[in-house]
Amino acid sequence: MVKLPVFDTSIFSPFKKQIEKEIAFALLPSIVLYELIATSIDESTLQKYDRWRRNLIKNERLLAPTANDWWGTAKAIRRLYIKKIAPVSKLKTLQNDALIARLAIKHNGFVVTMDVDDFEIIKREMQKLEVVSGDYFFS
Amino acid sequence: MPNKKKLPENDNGNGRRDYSHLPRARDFKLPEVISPELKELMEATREAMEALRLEEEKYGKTPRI
Repeated sequence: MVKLPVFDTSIFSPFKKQIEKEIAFALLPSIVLYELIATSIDESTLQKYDRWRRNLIKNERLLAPTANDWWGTAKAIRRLYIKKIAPVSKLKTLQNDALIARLAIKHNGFVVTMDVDDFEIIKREMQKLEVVSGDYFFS
Repeated sequence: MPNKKKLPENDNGNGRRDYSHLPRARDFKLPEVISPELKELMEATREAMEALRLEEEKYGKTPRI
């Protein structure tokens, strides 16, 4: 079974054009939509994101974490914390990425991101995680 | 015989990560017949990406929070 790409927020700015076609095959974690919406400014942009969201749901492309996903993600971050793999300031920034990673594993996908190093940290506690850089994926 | 140094996973030996076991965007082909639902999703994606481009043009690249 072919693994499907799971898009991280970091690829949207550099690869907007390519994403338009690739959305036909990709999965989108709700965390990414959250991050895009949280920093949007214009009301018209919010409306366009809302239409996009409704179509992602209709096409079963939007992945939302369950209570178990939050639990599993918290345990992974906890292990990184206990092992002192990264400073606390870094771990704080990894919550959303770790949820994205968890959803990618759960749905047999691989993460496409510009922040490969961050996901490599998460991979230490989610060994099944597969990550590729946006530059490679869209080349 | 010298011991071979074990390379980290995803390292192809030249310092660059090896992703060759995973597909690229060009490996995925659109179906000949695109369903109305998928067509609508692609249109909505194009609109959303255009909105993102305009916001970046107006306000600069947004922070990730």
